[in-house]
Amino acid sequence: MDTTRLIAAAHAGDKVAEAQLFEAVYADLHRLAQRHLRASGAAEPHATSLVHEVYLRMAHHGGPLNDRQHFFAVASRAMRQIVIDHVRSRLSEKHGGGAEPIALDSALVAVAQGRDEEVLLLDAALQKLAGVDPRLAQVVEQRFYGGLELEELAEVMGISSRTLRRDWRKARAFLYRELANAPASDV
Amino acid sequence: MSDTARWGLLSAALDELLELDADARERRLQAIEDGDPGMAAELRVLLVAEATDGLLDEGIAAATPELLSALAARGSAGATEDCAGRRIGPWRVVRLLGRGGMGEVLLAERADAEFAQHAAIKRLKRGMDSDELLRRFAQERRILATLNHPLIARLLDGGIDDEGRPYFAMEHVEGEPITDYARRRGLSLRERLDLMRRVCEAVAYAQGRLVVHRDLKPSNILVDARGDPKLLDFGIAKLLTDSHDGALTGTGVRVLSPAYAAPEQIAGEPIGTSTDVYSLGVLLYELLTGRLPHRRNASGAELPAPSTAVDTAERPSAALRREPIAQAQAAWGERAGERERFAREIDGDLDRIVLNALRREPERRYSSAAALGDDLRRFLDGRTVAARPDTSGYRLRKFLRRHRLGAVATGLVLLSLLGGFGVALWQARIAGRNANEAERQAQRAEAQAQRAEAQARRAERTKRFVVTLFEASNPELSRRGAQTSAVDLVREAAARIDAELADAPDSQAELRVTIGASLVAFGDVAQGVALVEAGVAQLRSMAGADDIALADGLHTLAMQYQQVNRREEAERAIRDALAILDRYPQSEALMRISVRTTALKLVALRGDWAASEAFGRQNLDERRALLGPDDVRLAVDWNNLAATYLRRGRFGLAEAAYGEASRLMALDPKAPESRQAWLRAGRSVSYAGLGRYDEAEREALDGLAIVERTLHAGHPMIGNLCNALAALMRYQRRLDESAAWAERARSVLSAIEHPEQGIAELNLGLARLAQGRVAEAEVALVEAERHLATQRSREDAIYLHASAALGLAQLRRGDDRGLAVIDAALATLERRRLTDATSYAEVMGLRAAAAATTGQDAATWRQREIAALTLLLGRQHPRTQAAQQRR
Repeated sequence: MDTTRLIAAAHAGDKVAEAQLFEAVYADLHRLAQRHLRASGAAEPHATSLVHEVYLRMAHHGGPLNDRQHFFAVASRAMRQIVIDHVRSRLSEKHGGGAEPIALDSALVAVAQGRDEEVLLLDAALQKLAGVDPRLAQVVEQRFYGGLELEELAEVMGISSRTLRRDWRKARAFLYRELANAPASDV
Repeated sequence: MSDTARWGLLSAALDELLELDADARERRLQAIEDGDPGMAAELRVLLVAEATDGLLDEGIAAATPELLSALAARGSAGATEDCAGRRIGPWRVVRLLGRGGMGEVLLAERADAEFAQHAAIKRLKRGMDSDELLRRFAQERRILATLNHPLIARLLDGGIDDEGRPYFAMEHVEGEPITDYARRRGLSLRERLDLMRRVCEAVAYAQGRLVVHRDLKPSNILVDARGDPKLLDFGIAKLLTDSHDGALTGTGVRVLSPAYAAPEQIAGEPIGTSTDVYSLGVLLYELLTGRLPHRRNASGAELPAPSTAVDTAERPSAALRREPIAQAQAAWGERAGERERFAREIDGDLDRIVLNALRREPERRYSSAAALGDDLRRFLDGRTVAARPDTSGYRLRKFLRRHRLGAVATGLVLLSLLGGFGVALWQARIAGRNANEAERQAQRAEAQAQRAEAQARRAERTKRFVVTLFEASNPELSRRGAQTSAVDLVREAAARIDAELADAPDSQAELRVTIGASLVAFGDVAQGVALVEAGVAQLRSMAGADDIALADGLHTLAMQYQQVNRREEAERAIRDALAILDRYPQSEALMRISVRTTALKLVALRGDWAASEAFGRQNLDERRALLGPDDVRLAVDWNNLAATYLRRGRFGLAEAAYGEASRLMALDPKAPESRQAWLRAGRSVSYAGLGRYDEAEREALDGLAIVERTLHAGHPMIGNLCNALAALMRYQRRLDESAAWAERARSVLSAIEHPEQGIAELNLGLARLAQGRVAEAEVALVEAERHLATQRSREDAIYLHASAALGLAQLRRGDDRGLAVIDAALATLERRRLTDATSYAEVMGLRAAAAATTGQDAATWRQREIAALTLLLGRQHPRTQAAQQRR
């Protein structure tokens, strides 16, 4: 199934199609990352621009993608999953190959993980936000993980950029409050 | 109400509030508060949170910078590409060539090249990678990379491999050691001398570029199948033998090959171009006689003391005749039978050439390889040789007039050391001045004078050393001798750069930077900064030629700017340097870390703690990747990171980071105990932030005890700890104690004009303000503002805190303009998004007090203070609770 039809099917609620789309995006992200590293070695492109590139490649190979909104939603979720997987695997390495559960027995652990811990906390906060306000969570997912600019996102989501800007600020308020109250920074 | 419904209400209210300006927003919040105080409080917290910058704003790339490489690695895990050999930088290992004391030598090929390029990669052993060594390594590598001579194996590349071990890749040479080659091929005397003449030529080329080999020996001079000699490992010895301390004290210099080392190398004395001459002399001796001129044990220790200095080497011709035939065979192989004929040819001029090269005192030898090579050529041409039985200084001076570069070469050795010495002299001067001022306080004066004296002694040793170096190479200067001060020498060097290095613009530029920095350290700021600027401009104009040198120059420039408080220029320079280094992610890690450390201080002084934290984190990650998690050198990164956590109110993280720094520091037996005091001060402030006041007090008092035990009574660390205690007491409303600690901090810090005395004044002012002693508060706060302004930006949170406190003091005195001062500070904090700094909540508290003073409604300001404290410290924190009660 080509990407366009995959997206259409996913949009129509086909869970299998959605999973396939996810896989395709995920695989493409890996390939892209490798190509970038081989090409430049030094200057890593921002991870977020990868989603754009995946889009362009898929659009190029599979004809026009008529549902950009759904594509970016899925691709951003893929990106989020990749980031979280990566951070988790690093954390479990630091904890001795995952033999021990991640127990925050001391603040030291939290610090030692550096940003990783914060990324996980943000993820948890984002899940919480999705529980009370799914649209805000989607805005964050596509902006933070998908790397979409607000204007772009407004167009993709079909809402005014003024509304979106406010959504983003509200989401930030919610998430930063959650992060501030999270145990790691207040041990 | 469900969470969703609750958020619906909050969200709707936020929609409205976010669109309002500050005043309208406050009015709206008050209206909400009348109906639903809990709702208003929650909204206030959300609004403060919204005004914060953090992870979301930095983007995912900043949070997981290595994600891409991880992705690529995971994606290719199943693939078979690129796994043919171990990768070292851009090289792929083919096989092991050998192992030595310093590490291993590997044959490798370029992994990414279209054409096959082979290299001999030398990889240092673990333990050979001290910060200082690696810094020099990077610096030297750049110089060596400029050596481009057909007889010198080129340095192709170098860096740090994935395991964090430094390596350098040299052109791979297939050949055999010069002595083996000569014996096996049965070379004639002329052929041997001609070979050595060419070796001298190559060494002379390098010396002309201010590079000294230091480890010339047969295994470093290979002759290939075509009969061309090739010199290996140029300058590498310098990298390996120069420990920083060794260079300073003249001890601890390791000698790689005692048999070929010059006496000054073994004695740990300064090295110059004539050091290589000695080694070449040994080599020549061996080629002629089959034995070494002196018998030494492995460490070279059995040399007679310099006072009995006689040139003990037997004449080569005599040695060749006297030694058993087996010895002659070592040099001449099957031609050993002709030794009498060889000895006759050697007797006379050639004996003198060899013995001249082997003189014990460097200044009595040929002063460069070029001079030795010239004499060999003269001998081969049948002309009279320059070497005479000891001709005292005459010939040397004559030589120097012709080859002034030799003098500069010696100067280079000196200058690489001067950076450190300059600082020592400068510190001695400061300390000396302080000692004068402090005569009233006998005890402190004594301690300081002792330090000053020790520093002056060190500086004097330095100066003497510098002077001897110049005496040895520059007769004109030596006549002035004792009157020449170290700073004059630097000025002299500065003046000579233009004329004498015009044909080596890269060295010229780097020396300008180095000498300029020395001048700044000596106190000649204007000329020094200008010289560094000129050097950097020159490096820039050669852009592309040597990026790393430019980055290094920019770093030095930034540090000079910082010293003279030109902060914006400093930051621009440091960012330029970082931008360059970021293009070399594989190789310049330590330099990058060092540049970032400067950068994080610079941005922190400007009050940008978020940027400072980002730098700190990158440093920690990079150094940890390089050295592993338990390396003591990580302590400094943990400490820097902890400081940014503190400023951003992340006390749990700060406390843990200080703890980690402390743990690592304890692993290093050489780390002075006083450093632990510094970390305790940090932990104390962290505990205070966490509301664990008892622990905070204990840490600070313990720290104080350490400082009092290990440092002198006037040490700034005492001031810092007293400051921490003053703040801690203020939080607990123990105002008398707070003022007393602040006063002690002030007396220590002001005596040495330490910039942190502004903090002491601030603490004192705040305590006096809370005690209602307004006049005293104002005096202290005026001072606080003045001192803080010298070191910090006027948009720094602590500066603004002082400014707002002064505003309140003015207001309490009856000057209404104070209110505007506080509001301005608050507005700046919000505009600069410093709402996550503790100062923000404190300034809000000051604003509430101001409202109370002027009869305004203080309640809303208290609300905002509580919101800020809640977000910063949590609802249960004693300070939040205290603010609740004040309401």
